[in-house]
Parts: sequence; C-alpha cells; structure tokens
Amino acid sequence: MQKESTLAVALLALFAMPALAQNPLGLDAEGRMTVTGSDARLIAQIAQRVGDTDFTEDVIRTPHIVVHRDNGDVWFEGQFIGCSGGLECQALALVADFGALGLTGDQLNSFNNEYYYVRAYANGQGAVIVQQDVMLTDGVNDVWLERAIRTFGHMADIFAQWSAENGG
Amino acid sequence: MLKQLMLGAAFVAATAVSAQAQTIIDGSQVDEILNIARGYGSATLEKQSNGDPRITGKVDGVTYQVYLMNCTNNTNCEDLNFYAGFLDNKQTLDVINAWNRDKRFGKAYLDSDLDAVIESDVNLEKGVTRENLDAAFNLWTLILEQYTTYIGYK
Repeated sequence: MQKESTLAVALLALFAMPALAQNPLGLDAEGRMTVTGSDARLIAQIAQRVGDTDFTEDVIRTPHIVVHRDNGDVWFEGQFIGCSGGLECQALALVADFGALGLTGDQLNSFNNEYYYVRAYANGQGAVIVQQDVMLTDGVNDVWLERAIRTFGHMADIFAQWSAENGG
Repeated sequence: MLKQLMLGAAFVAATAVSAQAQTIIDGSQVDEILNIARGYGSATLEKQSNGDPRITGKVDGVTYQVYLMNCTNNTNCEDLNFYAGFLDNKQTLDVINAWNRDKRFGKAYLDSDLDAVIESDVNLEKGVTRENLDAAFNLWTLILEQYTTYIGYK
C-alpha cells in the first residue's frame, strides 16, 4: 500500500472500533461483536472469513493461527503475543514469511519508507518478514478485525509484487 | 527494552482507560485529537502543504508530527500517521532492521537523507473510542521514548 495513493484503502490500525451499547450477547448497536485477547478461537473464526484458517495451541496454550490462500498455500500467520495460559493475549502479530529473497537492507528500508502500516525486515535467519501488530487489549470489533486481517493479506501480496519488481 | 516489556506498558495504559465512558472520535474531529495530544505534552495544529491538518507535538523534549491522511476537503480524514524524524541521526540499516525485528508497533526506517525515522499508523475510518485514541497516543509516547534511547538521541 503506497503512502501517496493507497491510504484510502488502508484499513489496519492499532485500535478498534467502539463497543457501543453492549447487549448481553456482546453485540454493539450495529450488531458487531467485540473480541479481546481472550477470544483467540473467535479470532480464528474471523480470520476464516479471509482464508481457510488453522488454529493451534502450544504446550502452554499460546494460540496460533495460519491463514491459507484459496490454493492451500500458507498466506500468513497470526502469532498471539503476551498471553497467559492462552488468555488475555495483548496483541496479534500478523506475519508473512517470504523466506530467502534477494533483497538488500536498503531495499527493505525503501519499502518501509514507502508504505504504511506494515514493516518489512530480515529475521536474521535468512528470511524476509512482513509484519503488522494489532493490539487486542482494549477489544476490537469483528468487522474491523476482519478488515485488518484481510488488508494485511493484501499488503503481503503487495510486498510480494514489490519484491518481484525489485529483484527479490 | 524487550517486546514483552513494551507490550506490558501498553497493556497497562490500554486497560487503565477501558472502563471510562466511550466517546467516538473520527478524523473530522481534529480539535478532539489535538486535545488528546495535549494530554501528553505541547501540541499545536498546523496545515500540511495540501491543506490537510497536521499536529506538531513535543513529548519529553522530542518533537513529533501527527499527519491526518486521506482527508476529504481537508476535514474528514481516515488515517493518522504518527511520525518522528531525527535530523542528522545516522544509523546503520542493521540497527534499523533490528528495531523492526525485535520491537512491536513502531516502524523504523532511514529517510532520503539517511536520518532515522519512526512511524506508527492508526486507522480512524468510522471512528474509534476516545479511550482507544488516547491509548494510541500513549503507545506512541512509549515508542518515542524507546526509539530515542535506541538510536542514542537522548
């Protein structure tokens, strides 16, 4: 998403839409659900609207999701951060691993200069990562979160195209 | 500071305001955004070259800007771009990459003059609660504090 021209469709942000007039079902006045860092399985269901999503937990119940493309390939992952026994996760790190690319640090810096919301970096193990962190502590509504996840996938695709055009 | 520490501070800030009454703020309410900024230090309202609003603030001696982006008629703006550039602060790409790898929420890069920059973006489309936006400013102050230390600015 290029800074000069694509903010119109930039939907990622750190914070959520409001939880207005909550009813007992957890729906706001416009019928949106508020989800928190304790709702990892629900977040996985929201991600399912974007792409086929796997949900797993590790031995200490830290959740993890993997979102797939229509062809079954891994699109990106969601790493839940700062959880306690699988609950009260503080953030969701959306991460796309592009593996080894022939991009220089200068090129990654140019991408970060040029595009909003996501950041690209070399992970020290030979892979290029595109990442966006979404804070969950104050709750986010499902519509907003779906758009955030969908837009991250879009940004990952933009990076892939940008990388290909720049020799990656 | 490690990721978990930064997240911990942000968590405290976010939860501390979560029980307050919710008021919705969108990108047309520049004065409200300015008022929130003034809760963290001095802040003045300016205009960008295209007429869109911009807030210039200072937190603990560090100057930053909040660019209101994607505005209609210089008013209804959909995004906030928190920005701080550090003139003549030269860092290596490895140092910048390490920030982006190891920290959450702030995005670091070198600008065209190879000066260190930190940014963070917030989407205001359809509005956010005042508490959310306040938490975003609070998080931004934490990012600024850590980044200025990281690059040796302070």
